[in-house]
Amino acid sequence: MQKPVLIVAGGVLLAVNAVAVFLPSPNSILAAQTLSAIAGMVLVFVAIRPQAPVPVATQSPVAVPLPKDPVAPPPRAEAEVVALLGLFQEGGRLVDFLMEDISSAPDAQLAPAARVVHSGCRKVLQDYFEISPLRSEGEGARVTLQKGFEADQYRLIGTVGDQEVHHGKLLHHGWEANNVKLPRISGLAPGKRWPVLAPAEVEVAS
Amino acid sequence: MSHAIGIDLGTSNCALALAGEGLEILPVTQILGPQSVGERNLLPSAVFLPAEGASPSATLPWTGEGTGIFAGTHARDLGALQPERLVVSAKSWLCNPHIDRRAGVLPWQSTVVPEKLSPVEVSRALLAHLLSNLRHHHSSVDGLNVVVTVPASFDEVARVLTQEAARQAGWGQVTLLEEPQAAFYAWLENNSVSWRSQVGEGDLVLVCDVGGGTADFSLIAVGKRDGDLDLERVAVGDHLLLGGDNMDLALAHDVARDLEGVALDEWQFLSLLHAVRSAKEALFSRPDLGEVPIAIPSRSSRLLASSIAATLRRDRLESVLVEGFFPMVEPDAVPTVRRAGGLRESGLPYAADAAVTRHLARFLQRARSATGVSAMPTRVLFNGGVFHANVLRQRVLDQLAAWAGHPVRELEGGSPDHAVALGAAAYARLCQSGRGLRIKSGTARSYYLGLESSAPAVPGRPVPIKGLCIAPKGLEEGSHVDLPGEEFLLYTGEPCDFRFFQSAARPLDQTGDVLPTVNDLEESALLTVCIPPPAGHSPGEEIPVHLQSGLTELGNLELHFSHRPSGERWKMEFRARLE
Repeated sequence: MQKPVLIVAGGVLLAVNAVAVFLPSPNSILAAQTLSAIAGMVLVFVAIRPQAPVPVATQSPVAVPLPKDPVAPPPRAEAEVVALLGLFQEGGRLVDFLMEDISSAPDAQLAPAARVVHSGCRKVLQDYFEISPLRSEGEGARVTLQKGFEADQYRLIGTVGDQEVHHGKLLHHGWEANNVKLPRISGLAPGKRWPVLAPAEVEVAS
Repeated sequence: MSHAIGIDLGTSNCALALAGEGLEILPVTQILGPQSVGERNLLPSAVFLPAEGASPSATLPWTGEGTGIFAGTHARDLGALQPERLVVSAKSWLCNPHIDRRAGVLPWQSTVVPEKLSPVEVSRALLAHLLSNLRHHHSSVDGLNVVVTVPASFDEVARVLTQEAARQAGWGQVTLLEEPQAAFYAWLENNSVSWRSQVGEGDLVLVCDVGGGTADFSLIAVGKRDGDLDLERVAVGDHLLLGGDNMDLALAHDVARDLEGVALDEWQFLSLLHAVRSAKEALFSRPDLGEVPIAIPSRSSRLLASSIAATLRRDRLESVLVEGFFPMVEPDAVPTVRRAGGLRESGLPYAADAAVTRHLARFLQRARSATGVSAMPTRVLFNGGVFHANVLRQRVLDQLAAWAGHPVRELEGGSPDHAVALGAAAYARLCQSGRGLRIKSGTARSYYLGLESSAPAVPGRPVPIKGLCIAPKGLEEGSHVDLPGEEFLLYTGEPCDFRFFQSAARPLDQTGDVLPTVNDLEESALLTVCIPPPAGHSPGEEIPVHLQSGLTELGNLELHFSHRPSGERWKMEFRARLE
């Protein structure tokens, strides 16, 4: 039923009741007046109450799948990054090193720590990435970038004009990964978004 | 389509190769960390038995969750922290006659593992991992022709057990190939055009294979037949538990000695070992470096105050490795044998003498006395990661030249890391197609049954044992010999045991020869036969039988008893333990 019709109907009933009050009437009419006043109020109330959304019938109803696990699935890309960081930590103690305050450490202490980090992380890099310089010339060599060079492979420094061919000095030969074969994350505990960076270690007392 | 597969079931690492158009190594999916899985070309031959509830949560694509024991990189790494739950060198246990090789004894002397594994089960686990990997990545592979490599020094029991492990793992019937021969097949394949220019008639090639945990020598003679070169494996060495791992350990101990007043815990020593290994590789590959600094981190999360600095100097590297493991020795040098009070801690029989050159000298002495001709190699094929170091290859060449009095050339174009698996795949293809050059290789040893002498018993003195030669050295694959003269009386219905001996140094013994004593033979197994009574005989009756021996196409020795009147035959089985 439409809202205005309800309001008008309720209003008419109330108005008729109000007029009837001033007319001499028997008891039976009084009872009818009271009932119609209640009915009018109910009609107005129903009309002005907050409306629940009315379901819209669609042509083919779709079953909405309920998630099995209330926790959202792990954001895969982030988990892979955390796992990679975990590899650098496992192999080369990278997280340990970066989380330590080195500002007051003398160089004599930094050297062995740097060797631990370097040799371990280097091995991880070699195990999982195939890395080569973008340019084979030695740094400092003159290089020429022809028209249509791949802009995302170069960072041009200095006065860069609109000319088609750029000549310049190679400051850094760049790096690129030719092949990546990272281990895959497997067996992440339910409810965990990422693997741990480094497990806590406990020496079991015998 | 049928495929030729080669498996290097190594002491330290396994590898899987496929022969198609060319030869390729198939990467092996394995658990790399507690929560990561990935591919590596090698599967470390390490099997880990996790504690209850402490399994890594990573699972292989072909197994369900909670897999229990697992093999590979993470097994090796985790095992370094929990050594009593790690099995390594299972292959060396497989050829140890003093344990029951089908009984659960590994991890050796572990007090925490309730259900131990037998050497056969460990080999089966590694082989099953390789098979699952193959099926997972190459589902089209079927009709397999599989070759598994074994050390040339493997005895008959270890060979039979290797085949048994492969069968249990699901590989079916596999052919065995000696590792040095596999390395040679890989070299032939790599140099299919040029190999004839590198060797010629009359050359004797030493295959010098020093892997992570073992050293293995073989001699291959180059001859001529029907106008083309032909190859024959003429001698194999003993099983030597001496390899690159020993060298890294020696270096690590040498460096640790210089750290005065610093006590390294087990974990730090392990880090030192890894650091020393990369420092060694750096020194070998960069002749300009005089020393390589190394650093050992502490176990805690603090790196700065607690990392220990050390140095590996070139002169120490050379004195420890070159002079310690490859000293120049006389041609008649003999490895020292440790006899500390007559009792040795049971376990693996590690070589007491670390000098590879002394073991090589003895190998060549024995080969000389066995073949009766000069056994000085003219060519060397190196195999194993140790020989990435030019210094060590040169040292072996110098040593051989000093013994021979003429220069000895290295065969070029080898691939020290994967040659054994690749060569095995090449051999599998050769078996499949029947085309290609084969290395002739009969039995590397002669074999004997122990017979009790019919001498009067003397109290306190054991009955002397005579040795009956049942298979001569050089018995070829697919051939059989009868012992017509010898008749044995066997009880029917109950198992009869025979002591089984072998020798690598008696090439002239012929089938049926009887040696008065077995003192210079090596006892390797017990043989058992149980004969059900043939028709017309009752259990417990003695019947006369004849012995036949033969070498199967798969490369293992088989012995049968036959009862002529009934025409029945029974196979003798190797027992996996010496009493």
